Amino acid sequence: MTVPAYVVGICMGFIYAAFLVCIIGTLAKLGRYIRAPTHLRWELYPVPHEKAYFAVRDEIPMLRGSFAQFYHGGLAEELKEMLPEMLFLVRVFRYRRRIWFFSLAMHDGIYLILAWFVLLLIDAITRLAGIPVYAFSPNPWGAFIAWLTIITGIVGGFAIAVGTVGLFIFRLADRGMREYATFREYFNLAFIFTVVITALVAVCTYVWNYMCANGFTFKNLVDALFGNHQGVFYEAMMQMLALITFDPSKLAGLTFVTSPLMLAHQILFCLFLLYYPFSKMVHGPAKYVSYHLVNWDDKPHQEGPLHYNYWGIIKIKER
Amino acid sequence: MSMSSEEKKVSELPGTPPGAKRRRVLGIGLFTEDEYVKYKQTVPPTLKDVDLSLDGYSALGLPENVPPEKEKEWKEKFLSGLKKLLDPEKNWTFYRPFILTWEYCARCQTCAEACPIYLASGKKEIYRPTYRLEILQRIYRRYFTWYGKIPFLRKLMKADIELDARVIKQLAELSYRCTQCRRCALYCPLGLDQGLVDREIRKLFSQELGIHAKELHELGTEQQLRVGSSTGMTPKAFLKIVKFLEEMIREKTGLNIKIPVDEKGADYLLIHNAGEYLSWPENPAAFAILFELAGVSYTLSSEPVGYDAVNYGVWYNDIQLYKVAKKHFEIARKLEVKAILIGECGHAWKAILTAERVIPKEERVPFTDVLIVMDDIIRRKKLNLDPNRNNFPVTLHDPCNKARKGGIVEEPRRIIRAVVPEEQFREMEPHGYYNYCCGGGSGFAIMHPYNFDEWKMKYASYYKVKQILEAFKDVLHKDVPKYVCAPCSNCKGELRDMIAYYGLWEKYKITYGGLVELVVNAIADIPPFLELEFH
Repeated sequence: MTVPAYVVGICMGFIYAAFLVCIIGTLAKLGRYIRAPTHLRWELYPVPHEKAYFAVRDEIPMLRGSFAQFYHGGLAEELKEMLPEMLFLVRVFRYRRRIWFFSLAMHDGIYLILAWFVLLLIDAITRLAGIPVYAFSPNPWGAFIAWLTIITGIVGGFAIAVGTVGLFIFRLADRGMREYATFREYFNLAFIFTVVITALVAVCTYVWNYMCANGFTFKNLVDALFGNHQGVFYEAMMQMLALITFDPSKLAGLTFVTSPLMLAHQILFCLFLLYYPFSKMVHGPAKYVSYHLVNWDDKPHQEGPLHYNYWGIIKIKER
Repeated sequence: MSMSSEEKKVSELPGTPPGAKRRRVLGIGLFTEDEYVKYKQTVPPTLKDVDLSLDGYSALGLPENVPPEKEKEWKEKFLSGLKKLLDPEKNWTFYRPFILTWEYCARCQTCAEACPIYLASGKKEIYRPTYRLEILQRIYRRYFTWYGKIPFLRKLMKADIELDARVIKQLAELSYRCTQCRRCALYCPLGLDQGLVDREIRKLFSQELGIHAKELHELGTEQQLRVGSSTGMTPKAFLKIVKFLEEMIREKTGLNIKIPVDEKGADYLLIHNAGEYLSWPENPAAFAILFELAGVSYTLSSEPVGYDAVNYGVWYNDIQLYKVAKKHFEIARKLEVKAILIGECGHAWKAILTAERVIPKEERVPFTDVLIVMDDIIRRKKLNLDPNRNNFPVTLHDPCNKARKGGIVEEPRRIIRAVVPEEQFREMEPHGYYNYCCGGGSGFAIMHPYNFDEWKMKYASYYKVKQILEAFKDVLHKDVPKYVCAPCSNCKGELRDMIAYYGLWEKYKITYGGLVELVVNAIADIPPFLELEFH
């Protein structure tokens, strides 16, 4: 079954719009927190970039220099704390191991899919440069990047599916989580799952049909995934090419990405992008604010209070 | 007795006890209506008119019966206060951290594993760290969202808490069931803070409805601003106590020390928690000895508020926080000191850190903590120390406000290593940034109303008692006196209560005290200073 070309065109326009809204919406959301009035200091130690509580002591002449030997910190210390937290959910692993596996699967799955988009971009650029990109490409870089795309995409997709189902079940099964979960939390998980499962079903169906037609061999399996001029990842790469060159004609002859199920997937994905900045899921970027601007703030030198109005009750002084 | 609260199915509420599907509860608390009526029959007459419907205890003494007009007023003010909490201008002081927790708490419940009160209660739902936020948000959704206005959507969207006097009272009480130790925030994968939510609820009640613990407000900040100290100590009484301290030092050590008061141009303005002068005078006396022998230039102040470092505003009210901090900075500028020095008082340290940004830059004075200065003195080897003077088992309790909330963890350990024999010092587990609160945090140490002490001992202090006993498990024998070192007045107050309540002195000879006492006791040039007793 094929879809009329104008539908494909509209879908492509929708992708641009959703992408833009998602980026702008997320930045606006972050901007809201970053531009919010400077709150009172409310750190939570240990603060990785300020281990010896250096800042306050240094302004006192009697203590100047006394604590320099204990000072070790900086951006590297922050990253040492933050990166494992982001990539492996260290706190969840330490303190709530029961949900860790599924939580990790979902979050790292999302990171992998983000990486997958970047890989598709690299695929597309490599192809623009005239290097053949597919699994059995004679060019080593073309082959390497193709395999990386296949693995990242498949592992990421399945990880998200497993993670969201697991977390959904945990929300229902764990009393503490069930009683506190709102409809929205289930909806978010179900939404992510639906976006991913439509793509996975489409991919599996395509691969199955291809192999049924051409025989169940490893080569056919790989060709169905990322062959030369065919395969799901090949078509995804071509779509990325069409998107970055603003050229819908690149989609001509593609059957997988223009199939009804994949169009449904793309529309769902766009809806997800539109929804994301306005949902709780934007907690990823918001985590930057909660750690760097609140818990690890630790800035004693500030230009006085910017606001003098307390609770709409007393005005202390106008600057 | 009026039961103003609309009955709700237990399963609709997060307070659901396991296997209690079809029971009905009263508001957001622990009791069913029948249970509450029965419970009230068992309480002493003084508690008959007090609302105990949250969990059978009362910290605020709110009345059982609330007239309808008062209920209406409370309800209106509560909702307007809730709106203000979410307003970046009106609540600029804590909007940013609060809104992050408000918007992004995913209820993964990781924080529950961190909360000593929740764990000590046998995981009672109402003490779960996220419970307060949950209740607040259900009220918010009920009154401020479109779906909260549509009855059949309320349950699905968890917008199902009707605000009435009972719920308001219970939520106010509930905000006094958290010590704001912020251990939960340390566990939170998103860096969010349920301790702050507790503080903001108290703030809403205090700033909008005028509901606060009288020990924190009327007898606390208000009295401090009016008389000079939350203990009620006047400047005259303070000067008398200083004379008494000089006498005490002379008797104990033979040293003739003149404690400097109101001396202009000193390096430090030393401000103790005024409770020290009344309950633990050996603590300020020890500082007088230490600073004299180490040659530290400092002064005390006899101006009202200048001799009391406490600032209870940090627990419940931004306006009071500002007023008290302003006085501290004002007095320091008047005395032309180079820095304010906070004594062994945890929350005073946190308060001055927090309040710094409400003081205009030109009115500020640098500040530091005595643990930092003591560490500096010891590392500069200004004293002749003999650790064998403290030859008894010692453990260190990290005050949350100094450690997790104030960044001071290594300093007291370096000090202890210099003044206590190595084999005698033992750590509690966990310690440092991950320590458990003594149970006296957020003002609990000074709050003894109604039957609240029982709640504190059973729930808030339970984990600390357990930790102390574990730290001393190899030396529990009665012949060996043991010392819990707590460089914080409120922690000491709570330790005093828990040692008495659990009989730790009679059974195990466990006592408590500050850190400077150990330091002064180790100074080889003067007679021993410390007496291991429990009063």
